Amino acid sequence: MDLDKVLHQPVRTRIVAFITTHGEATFTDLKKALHITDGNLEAHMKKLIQTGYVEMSKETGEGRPQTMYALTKTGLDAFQQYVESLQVLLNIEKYPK
Amino acid sequence: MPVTTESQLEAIHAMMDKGQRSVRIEPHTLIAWGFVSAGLILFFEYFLPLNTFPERWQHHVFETITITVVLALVGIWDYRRTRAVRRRRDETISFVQKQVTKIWWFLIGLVIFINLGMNFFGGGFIFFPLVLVILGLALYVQGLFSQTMIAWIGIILIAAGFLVLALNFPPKVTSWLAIFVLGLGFPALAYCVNKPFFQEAGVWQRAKLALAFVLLVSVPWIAVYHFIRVTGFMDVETISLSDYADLTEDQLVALHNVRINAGSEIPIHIEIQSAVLQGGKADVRVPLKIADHLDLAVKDEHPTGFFRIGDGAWQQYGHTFRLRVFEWKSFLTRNEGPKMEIKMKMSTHR
Repeated sequence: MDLDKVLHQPVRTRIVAFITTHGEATFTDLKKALHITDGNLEAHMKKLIQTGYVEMSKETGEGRPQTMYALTKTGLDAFQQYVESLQVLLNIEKYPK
Repeated sequence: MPVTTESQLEAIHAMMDKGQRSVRIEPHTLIAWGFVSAGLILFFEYFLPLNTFPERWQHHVFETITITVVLALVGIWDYRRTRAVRRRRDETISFVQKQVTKIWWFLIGLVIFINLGMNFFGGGFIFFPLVLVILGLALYVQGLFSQTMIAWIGIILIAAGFLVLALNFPPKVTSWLAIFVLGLGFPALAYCVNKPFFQEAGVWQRAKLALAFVLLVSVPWIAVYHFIRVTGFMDVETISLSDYADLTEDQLVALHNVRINAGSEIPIHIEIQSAVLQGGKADVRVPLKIADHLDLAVKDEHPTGFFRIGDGAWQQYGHTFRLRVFEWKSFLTRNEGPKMEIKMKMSTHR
């Protein structure tokens, strides 16, 4: 079984899992949740955006604009499929025939 | 560290849980809602009594409109300030937080609605315990999606609401508990919410913090309760009703404790207003005989509100006196025709 290479990376898995339940998140939200450096987070976000799993938008209003990250439909579907694949694999590992 | 299936699934669960528990209550929210709500209770309980308006309904309507407008303004201010603070910190207001805020708004609306209903239909005796229960429910829901300690405080408030109701404390007493929960408890919570000792508290630490919260609101409450019970009361010599009747005009102005002997008849005049009745009302005189002697503190021919039954402690009307209508039946029989039976209970605390 081939696991999604983009999602099968611990930091990226955690990013996508967090955004799934949190909803839109800023860079600061993600940094606080994941406890990683700015550079590390930026690199992984770039990869997720390139793949089309996460989209970036800017919200204007009072003060400086905020950059928001949200899962795309592609990203959500890919994540759901990834989790299902992991669960199937876990069953195979725990209960080999 | 090798990436395993199990570790990935655990990480996913942990981060999804974190995403759901991303609700945070801002300190300014607790302070604003706490102080304003405590202020509203104080204002309407002590500075704008029922007799301010010619008709009771006018007071109820004015109270409802004022509370609704003031709390709506606080809500709008809080909403805008929270968004500004989050934006400054480059943080979002998550989907779950928006839903929890809606629950807060709904519960506040419910309290206003219940207050209005109780003003017109009775049951005001349970209003402040109900406020504590609803506040506790709001904090409990907040805590489920943020910090467990907040949920614990919610449970404490729910328990406190039911406890004061079970112990039969009158509204004048329970209102002060609500005032201290909102005016002291909420600001204290505001101080603690972002502190590590609060956020990362283990079970024992949470127990200590819970106890601190209980002491913070209950100690001043008990102090105020005793203060208002004894304020204005002076223990002067008790005189009989006949001696009181012999006093001169000048002597009547002073404070007297007058004893009405056991077995004395006290006529109670009841006026019932209803569009159903001829003339719109009916007057009923009910003579009641008291079982034990009753001492009344009287000044300038008006009772001060302090009374004592038998050799019990002095009590204050409005703090310990309660009248309940707990049964109302109507009959239409061939022999007696129409008849109505009303059962009321008059109780004092101790």
